[in-house]
Amino acid sequence: MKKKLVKEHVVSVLLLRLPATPNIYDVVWDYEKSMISFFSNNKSVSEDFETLFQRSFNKHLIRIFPYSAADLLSNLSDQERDTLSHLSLTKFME
Amino acid sequence: MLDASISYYRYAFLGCEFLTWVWYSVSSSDINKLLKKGDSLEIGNKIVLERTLHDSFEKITIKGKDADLEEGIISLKKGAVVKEINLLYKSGEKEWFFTVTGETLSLSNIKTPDIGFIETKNAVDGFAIEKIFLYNVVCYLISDLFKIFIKIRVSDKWLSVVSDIRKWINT
Repeated sequence: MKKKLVKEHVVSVLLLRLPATPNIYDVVWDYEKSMISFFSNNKSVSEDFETLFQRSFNKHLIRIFPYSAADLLSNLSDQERDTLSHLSLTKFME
Repeated sequence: MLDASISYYRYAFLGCEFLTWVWYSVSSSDINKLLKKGDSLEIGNKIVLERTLHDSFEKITIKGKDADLEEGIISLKKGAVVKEINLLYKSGEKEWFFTVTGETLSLSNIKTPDIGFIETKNAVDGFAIEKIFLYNVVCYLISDLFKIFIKIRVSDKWLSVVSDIRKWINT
């Protein structure tokens, strides 16, 4: 048990001494169109960016994926949006 | 709007249906009616399909320049959906290669037309702006095609499109 605690302590001390590895990701903010392009598809990196953006600018980002693109960017009428919310998977095989 | 974490998974199929529609539209040349005159869209060098049936899961990846996509069609016949597709967009003499993922509608592996080298320090801004402009070309292309798709998807026209896609799969 004592050996395990010593090992954990040594690992945590050594980890603190390790220099952080920087990763750089490009971001483009089209202020007029209220659009941000974030150049990474990594899920955790995207989430970190969303959090950082929220903290920095006090603005909430909306991620664009099929439903949000359809609902927010496709100029659908109320009736079309209602149809959208009831859609289900199409089977192309017969 | 629905909560993002729910709608992301609940409607992820829309992205896969969109990619199937793009593939069909490219194959039937219908896509050319939706692009600017003289522009073209072709299937690039990769398609990824997935099929889930009961407890089994199948992933089919077709890679290679001018690859025969027959296995992909067979997978569609068996009920697979397109998860990822690589496309080639041509506008004038310029060419863009890029991959679209259905579930997220995200773009990756974007290869834009060449824009030369940065020769002076002052040219960095111009280079960056031109590169962003070239990235935006494919972003807006996919965004515009998705808007057209979703308008069809929520209309009665979708039934005839599905019928056409079934005919295409079975010929």
